[in-house]
Amino acid sequence: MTRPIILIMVALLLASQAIASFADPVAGDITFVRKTKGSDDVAPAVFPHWVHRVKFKCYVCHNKTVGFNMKAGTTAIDMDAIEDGKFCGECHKGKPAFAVNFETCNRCHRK
Amino acid sequence: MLEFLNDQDGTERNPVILRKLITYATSRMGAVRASLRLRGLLFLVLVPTALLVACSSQSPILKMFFDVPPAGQESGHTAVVRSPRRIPFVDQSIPTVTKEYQALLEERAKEGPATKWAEIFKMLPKDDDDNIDWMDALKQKLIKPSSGIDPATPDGKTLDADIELSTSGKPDRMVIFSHQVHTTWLACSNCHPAIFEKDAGTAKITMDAIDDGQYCGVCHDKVAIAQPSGCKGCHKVKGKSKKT
Repeated sequence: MTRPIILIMVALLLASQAIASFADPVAGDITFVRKTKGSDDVAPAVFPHWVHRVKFKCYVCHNKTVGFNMKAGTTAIDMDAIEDGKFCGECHKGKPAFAVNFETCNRCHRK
Repeated sequence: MLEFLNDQDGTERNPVILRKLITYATSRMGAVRASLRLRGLLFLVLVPTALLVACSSQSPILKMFFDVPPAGQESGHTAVVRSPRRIPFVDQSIPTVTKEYQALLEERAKEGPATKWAEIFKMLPKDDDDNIDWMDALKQKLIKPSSGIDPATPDGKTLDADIELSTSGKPDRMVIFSHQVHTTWLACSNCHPAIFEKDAGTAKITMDAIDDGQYCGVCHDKVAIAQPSGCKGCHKVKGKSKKT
């Protein structure tokens, strides 16, 4: 019973180390400017553009259905919209990409 | 009772003897009492022992004192299962691993290790300014960006038309915009009509506007870097070579 838990913990540790290894921003990374107030204790979300470019063409996200504008900072994204399956939530709902929950906050909200 | 101690004339015979007799009698009485106590004790020990012996043997005396099951029924060896006298205490504040959570963990373990982004980043080709050279990565087929969230989505519309953008200052260094390169990544609606009008030549594109984040500058030098980096990425001496 404890074995899968240990495996998961090791996997998470490795994943967190992998994320930490790109502390330096890559061209195209976007740190979202927080426009909603009241949650200053949570770090703003960082969008690694290059990670997404490896897997998808620009127009997969930059279109009218998903709704990301071409100009950074002009799309009003908030956690409610993501949880409703809009914007990031189109993919980040478990499949094909990791779900948005309390275990995954720091995968986007990091310094 | 004490008549024999007196003489006929009623005088005292000997008071000393009398006194001795009385003391003797009293001492005998004590001995009698002690022997009675001993017998009582013997009785108390012997009677229960006799009863125990009588009961332990298969004699009718046992049935006289105790309820004995009839001859065929005396099993008496099967364990009696009783419900617990009190319900076991479960502390609700201590989290317990539910079956659903266990299933979730096992499912995640099956998914395999996380994507090794550090290795992918090292693998991607870099340009002269150490940024990722995306076009080179495409040409080398190191990456296969899909055209939709579903990887099976067919590629979007591509266009091969090149547009020559003449420059006012240096006509020899005109910019040749390749639709083919751009449409491998982008759809028409990404640029038209919000960033550029559909008719070529309608936009007056200046370097100041680009540096200000308009026209080409919406993407270029932010998420897209023309190769080689710097002026020569777009201002190629292609126009000059055409003339000569």
